[in-house]
Amino acid sequence: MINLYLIKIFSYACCITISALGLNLIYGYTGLFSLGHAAFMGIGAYLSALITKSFCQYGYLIYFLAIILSTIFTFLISYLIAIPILKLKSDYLGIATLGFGIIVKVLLDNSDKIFPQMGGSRGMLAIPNFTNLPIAFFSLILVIIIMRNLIFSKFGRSLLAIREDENAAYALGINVYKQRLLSFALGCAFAGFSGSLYAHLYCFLHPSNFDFLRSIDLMLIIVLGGLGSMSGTIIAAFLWVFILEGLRIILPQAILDWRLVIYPLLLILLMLLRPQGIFGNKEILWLKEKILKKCY
Amino acid sequence: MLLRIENLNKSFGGLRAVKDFNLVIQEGELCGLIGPNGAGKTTVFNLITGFYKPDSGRIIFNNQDITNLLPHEIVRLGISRTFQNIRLFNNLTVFENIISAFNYQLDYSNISSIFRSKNFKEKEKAIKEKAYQFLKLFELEKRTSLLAKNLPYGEMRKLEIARALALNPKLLLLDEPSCGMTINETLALMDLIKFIKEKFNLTILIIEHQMRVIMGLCERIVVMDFGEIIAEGSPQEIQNNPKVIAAYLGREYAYH
Repeated sequence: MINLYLIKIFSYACCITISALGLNLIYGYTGLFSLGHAAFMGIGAYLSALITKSFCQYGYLIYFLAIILSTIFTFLISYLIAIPILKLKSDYLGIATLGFGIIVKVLLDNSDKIFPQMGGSRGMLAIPNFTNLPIAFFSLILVIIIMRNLIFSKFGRSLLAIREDENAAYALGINVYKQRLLSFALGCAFAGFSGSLYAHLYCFLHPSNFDFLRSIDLMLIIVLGGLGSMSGTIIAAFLWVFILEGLRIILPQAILDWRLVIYPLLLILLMLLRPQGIFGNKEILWLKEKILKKCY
Repeated sequence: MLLRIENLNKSFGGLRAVKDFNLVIQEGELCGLIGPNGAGKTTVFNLITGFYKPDSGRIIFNNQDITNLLPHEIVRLGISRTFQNIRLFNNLTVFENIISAFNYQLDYSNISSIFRSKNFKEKEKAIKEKAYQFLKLFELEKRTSLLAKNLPYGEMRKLEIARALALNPKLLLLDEPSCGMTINETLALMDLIKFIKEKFNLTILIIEHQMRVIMGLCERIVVMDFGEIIAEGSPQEIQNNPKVIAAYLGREYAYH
């Protein structure tokens, strides 16, 4: 029993990590302050659940198709959203993405008016359980490889340049606006991907799973791990999931809700002691860039 | 001619920062742009490089109208610049700073970088080698893995100039390169500018406050005040021009 529980938690951690890696691309590497990341996860989750629920007789075939479709859909939606709002900078962009997150939440709350099977604020029930540990884990590895290969290419370098100094990036011939759009949409596509895995893991979706607080959770994870570090994000995401769940086991029933106090306390401590996050912007093991020996 | 600016105007609210500005720069020239603070020199740079849009007027580079192009498009045509307050990527290493300048010259797609295709590997390897040679040329090869913000001031300038040159420009715009430098650093900078001009076959337009630099380097000097050109000529002509002295020192010093 405990084993099954652990497997579920581990798969969940994989989903969260994928989503957090997407946000890390957006905020950690490109410096776009986004507070609506969970909303894109929600879009991916609901869309893929809607597809699999409608055509569940096709089994895994429709599941993989749903994942691919909802990832592409999230990419397109976020690209369209980004065209107007990426004209904004820093905090203003944060507010705009926050607004978008709230819109998505309200739409999901009222979705049953149009699609009764989406359940609206009662939640979406009876989604087929397709996601298992191997699929979740394999997806995570896939996303890490894609991320790593993109970061250590001209695309990744242009994102870092934009984050460091927008005007200097322009002066180096980098199409700042276009690269920002691409980074934002790609990060959101990862969120949509992770959302569709998540939907078929728990088989139940509720709009509150994708509200503002979930976006904040993702933001916490990447800040905790270190902005602009894939290794940091991965480790922080797993720590975050397992600490929250671990406290559920360790703490006695009477003070169970205190775990939501304990982990913010841990956060505050970490930020005081290590403001750059667990890893800063360093990478470990295979996630490091291969470099020409003589250049360093 | 390489660059021709015709009747350029730019206002910020009620302030006319650049008024009817005309300038022609020939290929291979080293031209100085001077003037008191607030004369509009940096605004002219920002207009040429596309960071500001002019209210009226035309900018023609290499027989092509670049007036309404965006900054990154203008860079790709061959105009690169440095900034008055050094704009390096502070939290990236010296090597990463240089290599990001080669970005637009790399033609592989994002798809091929995801799959690490042969094309990607070859081009990346070549570009890294090129970046390293570049650092070597500027005697920065010992600093490759240092963060840009930890460089000494003079080398920050040098890195910024090196990064601008890595873009393979025809015209280089230097905005007060000697700003905040000691005399020794300034002398080294002058040698560097002479060196890169020969080495890369450049045309240079330079904004400068230190007369030592401007008189020592430039063949032709353009003087601006209140957004207008008030004088133009060789260093000797400029030094004795009463209008220039008036602009810098005040009227009573000029006509005594």
